[in-house]
Amino acid sequence: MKKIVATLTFLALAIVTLQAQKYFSKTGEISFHSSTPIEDIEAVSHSASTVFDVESGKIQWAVLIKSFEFEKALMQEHFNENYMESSKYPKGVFKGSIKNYESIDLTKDGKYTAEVNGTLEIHGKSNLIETTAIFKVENGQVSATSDFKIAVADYGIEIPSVVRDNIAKEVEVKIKTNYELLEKS
Amino acid sequence: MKKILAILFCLGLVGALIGLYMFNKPLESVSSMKTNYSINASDLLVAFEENETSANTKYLDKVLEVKGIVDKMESTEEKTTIYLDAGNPLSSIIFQLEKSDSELKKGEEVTLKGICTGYLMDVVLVRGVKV
Repeated sequence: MKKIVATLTFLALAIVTLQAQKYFSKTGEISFHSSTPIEDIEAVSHSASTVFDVESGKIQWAVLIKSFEFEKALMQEHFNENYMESSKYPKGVFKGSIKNYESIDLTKDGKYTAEVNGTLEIHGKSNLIETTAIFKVENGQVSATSDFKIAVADYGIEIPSVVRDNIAKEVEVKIKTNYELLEKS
Repeated sequence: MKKILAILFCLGLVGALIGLYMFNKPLESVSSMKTNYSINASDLLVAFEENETSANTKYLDKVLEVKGIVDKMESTEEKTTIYLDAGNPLSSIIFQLEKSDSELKKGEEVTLKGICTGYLMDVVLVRGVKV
């Protein structure tokens, strides 16, 4: 009898642990960089939210467009008001999955390359994104980085001809974050 | 005639300098900006939870002073993030600070001032300063 109870308790615990295999962060960093011979433009947000479900390989990111900070006030204003229309489209959202998630073991220290694909929605337009991400586990601390390029035109963002040469057609996006294990309360 | 040209030249130069100044102007510190709304952390979260669209209309881009208890702090080399307790275990009010502030402590009641950028799982404010 005792044995059965023990086994059941163990099983119940195992199930709870399995279900708890979700990692999250609310301070993910997303930066982008546009480089042309005339001007370099850079902006960064430190408050993206992300959840990675290890069991299904599903991964999500969301960022508030207005949380991107630029060096120059005027650039930030133009970015929000003219290009991204961030009052109308306040968020950028990526929903995707990791193809080779079974080969990633976040309970073991190491470096894992993940093949990510999914849909990125910005400015009311969605496009498919395919990229790789690096998951690193060091002393149990999970972190992830990735970078990819997106074409401004794919997201219906119109750049007036006066500044067309100042803004790159393809913008480099970099993301990085430390993940925390989502604890069941 | 020469005088007029000289004056025009000076005016042009001043205009160009002002233009250059405006173009390169850095972000203004929030501490010198006028506060649009003062609100409690939990009231602010409830406003976004109940109706995100109307809360966006009211608070986006506005300077907010939010009163609440520091629930959690996170620091990296670049940024300090303060979580204000908003009476919900999953969501809080998140402030990205303008610069790190070593005076802030967990459990302390504070009023932070920042610019509202919207709502994900939490309400996020940037360029935060302690009032």
